[in-house]
Amino acid sequence: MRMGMIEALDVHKTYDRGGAAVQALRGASLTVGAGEFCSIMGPSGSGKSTLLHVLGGLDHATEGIVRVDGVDLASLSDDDLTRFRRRHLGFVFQFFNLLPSMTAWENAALPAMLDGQRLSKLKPRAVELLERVGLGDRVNHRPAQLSGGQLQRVALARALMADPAVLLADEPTGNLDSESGRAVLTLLRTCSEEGLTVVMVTHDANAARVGHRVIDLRDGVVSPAKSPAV
Amino acid sequence: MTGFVALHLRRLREHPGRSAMSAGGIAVGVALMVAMLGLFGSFTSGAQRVTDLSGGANVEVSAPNDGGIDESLVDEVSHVSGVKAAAPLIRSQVSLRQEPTLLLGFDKRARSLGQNAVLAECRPKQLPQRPGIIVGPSIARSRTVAITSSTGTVPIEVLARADCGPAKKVNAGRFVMAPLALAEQLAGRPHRIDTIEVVAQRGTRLSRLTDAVDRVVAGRAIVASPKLLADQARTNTEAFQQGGRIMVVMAMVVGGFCVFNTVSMTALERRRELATLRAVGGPRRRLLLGFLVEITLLGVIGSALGAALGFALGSRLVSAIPAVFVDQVGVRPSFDVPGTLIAGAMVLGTLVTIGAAILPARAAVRVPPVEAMRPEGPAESSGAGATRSTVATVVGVVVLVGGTVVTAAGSKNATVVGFGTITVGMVLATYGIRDSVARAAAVFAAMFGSSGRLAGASVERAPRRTWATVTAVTVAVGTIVTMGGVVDNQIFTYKRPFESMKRPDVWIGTAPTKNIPVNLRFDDGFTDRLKTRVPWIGEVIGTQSAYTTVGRDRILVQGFDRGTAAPVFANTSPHNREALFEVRHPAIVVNTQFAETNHLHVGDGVDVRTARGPMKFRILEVVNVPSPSQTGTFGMDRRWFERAFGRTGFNFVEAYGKHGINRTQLKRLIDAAVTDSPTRAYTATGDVQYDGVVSSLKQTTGIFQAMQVAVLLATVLALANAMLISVVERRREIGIVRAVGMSRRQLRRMVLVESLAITAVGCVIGVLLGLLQHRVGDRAVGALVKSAIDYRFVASPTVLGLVAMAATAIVAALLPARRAGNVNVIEAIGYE
Repeated sequence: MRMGMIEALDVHKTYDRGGAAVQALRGASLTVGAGEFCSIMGPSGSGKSTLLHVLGGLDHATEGIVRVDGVDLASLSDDDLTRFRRRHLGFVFQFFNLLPSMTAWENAALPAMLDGQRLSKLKPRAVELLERVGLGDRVNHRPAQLSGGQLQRVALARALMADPAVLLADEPTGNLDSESGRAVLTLLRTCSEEGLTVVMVTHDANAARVGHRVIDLRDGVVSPAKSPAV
Repeated sequence: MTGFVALHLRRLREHPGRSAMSAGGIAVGVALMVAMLGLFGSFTSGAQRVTDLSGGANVEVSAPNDGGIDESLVDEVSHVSGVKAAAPLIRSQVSLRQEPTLLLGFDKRARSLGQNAVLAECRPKQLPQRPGIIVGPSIARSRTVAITSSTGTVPIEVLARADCGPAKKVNAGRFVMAPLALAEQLAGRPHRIDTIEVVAQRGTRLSRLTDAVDRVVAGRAIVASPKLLADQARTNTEAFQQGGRIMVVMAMVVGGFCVFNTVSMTALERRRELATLRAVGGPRRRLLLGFLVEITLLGVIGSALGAALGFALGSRLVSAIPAVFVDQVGVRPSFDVPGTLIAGAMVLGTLVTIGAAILPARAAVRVPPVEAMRPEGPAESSGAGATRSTVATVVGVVVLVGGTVVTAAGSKNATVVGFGTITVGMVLATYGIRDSVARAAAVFAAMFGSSGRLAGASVERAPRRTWATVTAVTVAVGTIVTMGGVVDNQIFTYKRPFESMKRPDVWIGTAPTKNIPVNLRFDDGFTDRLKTRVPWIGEVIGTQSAYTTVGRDRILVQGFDRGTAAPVFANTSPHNREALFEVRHPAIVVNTQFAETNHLHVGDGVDVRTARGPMKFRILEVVNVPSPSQTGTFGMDRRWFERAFGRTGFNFVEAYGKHGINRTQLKRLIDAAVTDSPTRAYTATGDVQYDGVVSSLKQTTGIFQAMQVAVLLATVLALANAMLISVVERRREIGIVRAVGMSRRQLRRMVLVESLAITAVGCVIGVLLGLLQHRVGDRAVGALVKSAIDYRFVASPTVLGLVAMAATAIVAALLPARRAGNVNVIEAIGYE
């Protein structure tokens, strides 16, 4: 077994919804090894997005331990956590979340830009990433000029910009047609094969099978391991 | 600049309309600041330009009034120990083409004053060696001009024209320069001058020198710094400057809310974007910096635009300054805004922009990164918990009450602070109850059917935006109701003592009805000639009036004959009216402004410097008759006046017709009889003269009414901005309701109702605020002007405010409503 890049131990997350406590995670535990491509599946309301948020440091666990690349996320201040996300994690969102006023390459360069680097110096790397995801001819296009699949590939380029150790994807194919979805999944798989740890939340069983392992989440708890994916 | 900041700036370019409206709000505030403060400051700088003619003088000996001082005093002063040089100057008012014109006269001794801009740069080097004058740049070219003084009209050759920059700023370019002797002749006062400019020997202590000169002058003139005229100008425009500052504060508040709204809405619109930036590792500080750089640029652009607009506005307004203002200061100003004021206004405008943006910007960058993952953006929260809201309300009420007390106290600078504090209190208090404010707007909107209910849902869902827009409306309505009420009460109170002016059948003055005749005079024989020429005249009463310096203040002094309808005399008790002419010792009746400025009471003595030396006048009575000079006025028996100031004749005359002739007929006869008067005579019937005074009163307050338009303009921008952003923000929702069958018309109606609902709530709070401020404003302005104002409720400003705001709501909704109606359903549903 490879060393755990992501370790979650007995993670609980409770939300306050209008005075009522809603338990999204009830002691979820998992370990994802370095370079592993892990898919998290589960029905609606099972807590899979919450788990991804907690693993990505977007949200804090109410209880339990979350370690990413050996760092206990609960021990980080908000500023440190932000820096950690910027330098160690890459995110791919279901709704792409690109900035409409920026071109494709500027969107891709965003994490490094947020690190205070000059835009002009970032262009070669951003263009290289866009070429890698097959958008070499779309670098100066704005989001409004791109298709859904292209938007998600720009988002993937953005996620890779800071050379992260972990890539977290929330329903990355949920808004795409099947062909575009397949292309994005192939790219994620390639990233994993190149050593990147990938955690993907999806409700699509076919998409989940692209990963090395599928984790089934039910009522906020990880179910016993299923057979590894193909 | 990092790329991220550069990208933020790109936002401004991508939303030109929104950027323009936000910048516009600030621009209006800054424009008002530059125009108003520049305008009133121009009086001081206008007077300063005239005193600059004194060059390097250290002490100035000036005539107490326009009667001048004897030229022989120059020799006496020049022999005082410590005096290096003493130069006589003529700085008098004459009439040229029936316009008041500054007459300047120098001789060789003026060289001792060193260089001054007008003499050094503007005086032509080669001048013909014959008697003549140099005219200022505002005087139309001609070979000769006729100069009228109190002793008659003298034609004189124009030798040259001083047409350069500095000359344009001396009495707005309306002056003539002549050698001293000629200038004395033109002023109609041979061997009398206006000032002696004294240059001290090196090492002489100025206070000691001033005392020494004062001893020699022995009360025959005023001995002070050459800056006295500028100081008097500052004092005499103080109340108006304060009023201007209040309006600037109000315009800035509205402009600030315009920015607050824009940033709040922009932040809401960009909530997902900001959450994404936070999710991918954007530090809050950097995101905030991006926001602030964007907003700072907006502030700088708006402020620069405002400064330019303000300059243009002020330049136009300067020519519309009421004549009574110009008389009381003694110098016609040209719009002269110091660079520091423009820079200060721009800095303040930018700071207000940043200040208004910082709260919503900080709230925006605190967005939890996890929200980036949510498919639907969250609704705007009201921004603070119940405890903070309660605290805000309580603090707001306390601040409001504190501001009311401070304003009512009516101390000079406290007035602006007080009005500002009341506004801040109102802002805080309403912020605390913003949910209720939004609910009230929603309830109002719901009265307008299904479109109204949708509009209501929109305002209730966004309580902070609703509150911010309501506040802008509140401030505008509050300002209209306050200013309208105070101005109405001021005119109502101040015109009452002038009703005596209706009594004479005809007034004959040396200046038009809009001016107080102070400089030019009819000669002593004028009244007798008039009676001879117009046999229908039963009685003629003459009055003298002049500005004089008492202490350090410029005061309007009048010399009365028995029975005059001049307001100060007419408002004196019958007993003192008689006493004024009976007492052996000189006595005066003073107005409240004079008494309060100098802390004097009935029976006190007033030391007045006259051309014949110091005189003491006993106060017989204090009357509440406001004077154009904020430092006050007093009147005395004309015989004492003539003795004190060495001045004969009349500045205005009242004529009463015999039985059987009406006023119009009498005026016609008098007009025919005075055509050959050496000093031009302006006639008006009693009613017209009174109307002229009331119109002057209205003119002096009219400037504040004009400023309300600017505040209203800022409100239109604030409201339009809020509505526009509301439409942009709800594009998806608009697409959905269009998809399920809402017509374009219903949509437009929805936007209009939303605008009206917000405006209605703002109007209710604004009227309440305005009524409160009106009550305390009367006290504050009365204390500021040193003449009490009687409070009375007036409905017209409230009606005007409501009508103006209803129109504002409709105008502000036009563009957003059109945009809402034109939303493409397919695009909007897919809109993120």
